[in-house]
Amino acid sequence: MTDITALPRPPETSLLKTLRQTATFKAILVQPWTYLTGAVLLAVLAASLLNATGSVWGVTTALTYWAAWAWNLIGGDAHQWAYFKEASRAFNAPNLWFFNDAGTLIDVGLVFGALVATLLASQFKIKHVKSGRQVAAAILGGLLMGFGARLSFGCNIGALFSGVPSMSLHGWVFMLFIFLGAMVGSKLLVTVFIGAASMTPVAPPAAAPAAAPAGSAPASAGGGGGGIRRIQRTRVERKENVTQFPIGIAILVALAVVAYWYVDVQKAPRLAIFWVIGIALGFTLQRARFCFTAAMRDPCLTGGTNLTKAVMVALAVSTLLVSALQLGAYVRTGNFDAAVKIGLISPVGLHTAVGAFLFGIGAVISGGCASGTLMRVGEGFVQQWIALPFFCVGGLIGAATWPVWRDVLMVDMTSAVYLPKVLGGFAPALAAQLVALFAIWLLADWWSKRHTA
Amino acid sequence: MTEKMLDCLGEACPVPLIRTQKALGELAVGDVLVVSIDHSCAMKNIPEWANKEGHNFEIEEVSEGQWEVVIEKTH
Repeated sequence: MTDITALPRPPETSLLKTLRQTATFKAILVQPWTYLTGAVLLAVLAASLLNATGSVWGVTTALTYWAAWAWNLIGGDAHQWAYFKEASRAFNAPNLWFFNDAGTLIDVGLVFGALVATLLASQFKIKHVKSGRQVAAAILGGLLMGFGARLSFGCNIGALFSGVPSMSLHGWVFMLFIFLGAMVGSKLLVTVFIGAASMTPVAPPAAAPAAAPAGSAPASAGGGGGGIRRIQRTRVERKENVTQFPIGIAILVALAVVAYWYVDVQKAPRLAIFWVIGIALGFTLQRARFCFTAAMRDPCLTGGTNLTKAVMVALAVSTLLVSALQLGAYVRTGNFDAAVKIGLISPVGLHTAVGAFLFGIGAVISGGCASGTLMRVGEGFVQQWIALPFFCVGGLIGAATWPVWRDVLMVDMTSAVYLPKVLGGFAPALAAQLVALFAIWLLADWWSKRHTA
Repeated sequence: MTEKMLDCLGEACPVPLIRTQKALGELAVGDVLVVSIDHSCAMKNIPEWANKEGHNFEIEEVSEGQWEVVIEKTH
């Protein structure tokens, strides 16, 4: 180990290396975006999807379909299950299959979007798990999330990120109980799944200069503002790999070809929209490191609330955009009841609370919610490669045993609550919702400051 | 001044940050902690935490998708 800053550097000859040094390239493709950027982009993308297709963003329904198709392939007949006749009827649409299911295209697009984002930043690495405890956490967490999302009719995306902006009560109930589940999950994580670790001393290199030359630019990729001067420490040499960016571009071209195929060959432009927005969502989630799990978990676990605040911003922007779409439809058609159907309003009840609670536990111990799991599958996290199939299986178990939970939890399929109906109209409900989101934002801000040592 | 290495490779959020918080608590003012991570969210949330707490820090990308967050304990 030598101090590389003291050695002469070879001239930067490769075009890519030069490109990588430019500020714009770094800001857009290498350094993480701010959570706020992610929040606004996610809200805009979800609203664009709703505007273009009439469909909200969801993640887990398609995962359950994958498992159900696999179940049918090995001889089962999931089409006969009560769940797909009562709660998720789209599964029984004629000729529905992996390549023409809108939800599947979003999910697969999301994985590829995250992969491309990682490759363009030259930051792709297969991240192996360190301990058997992590494997157990991924399996248990995946099962809990898949199962929980079936009970609550959606995950952090379908129920929370699409439900709240639609002014549906189930979104708010989901938010409260995923938070409580995340608290329990955090406790489980630090007591059962974390394992021990210890620091090791770093031996100073024998012949290296004691300190880097004053004023030399840090080799930092992330460029935080906190380091006032170069920290005196042992440094290792960075190996430059120039292959990832071109691979990222190649995959991006292939994804565009698939989009073209849906539009021009399949004559299904609607499916192409799901595909392209899925990719954009995955790209945004990865670039901003936007993690719904952390938003629910970190306030109690680490005292950080930056993501909690960002999720509130995302929900508020989304609420405004969905309201604008509803208002636009009302102005165009004059039909208020039809206009407010834009969005997602699901049945709410005990099942929402129980499902969200289980989902919250699962998301924290497995290290990612529904969108986070898919994003990290694309980023190369082995832990999420393990969690994803169990997520699908959890959903399958939930769907197969649906009649039991429907009766035990007294699910009423007509129990959806549209907040403007109970809060005295559209404008008061919109105002109340924005005030509530802002109040949570203020609470999170106060919590973070209080928590600083 | 001592320099300590904390190996969090292969660990998922929030474990690297929890370990960092604990490890830094055991060090003396002026000591340097090098946290080795490959979780792409930890390269954002560990520096954020260090910044909030007022410690000096640097992020170094040591290879593709692998970083060292260097934190100098200032108080």
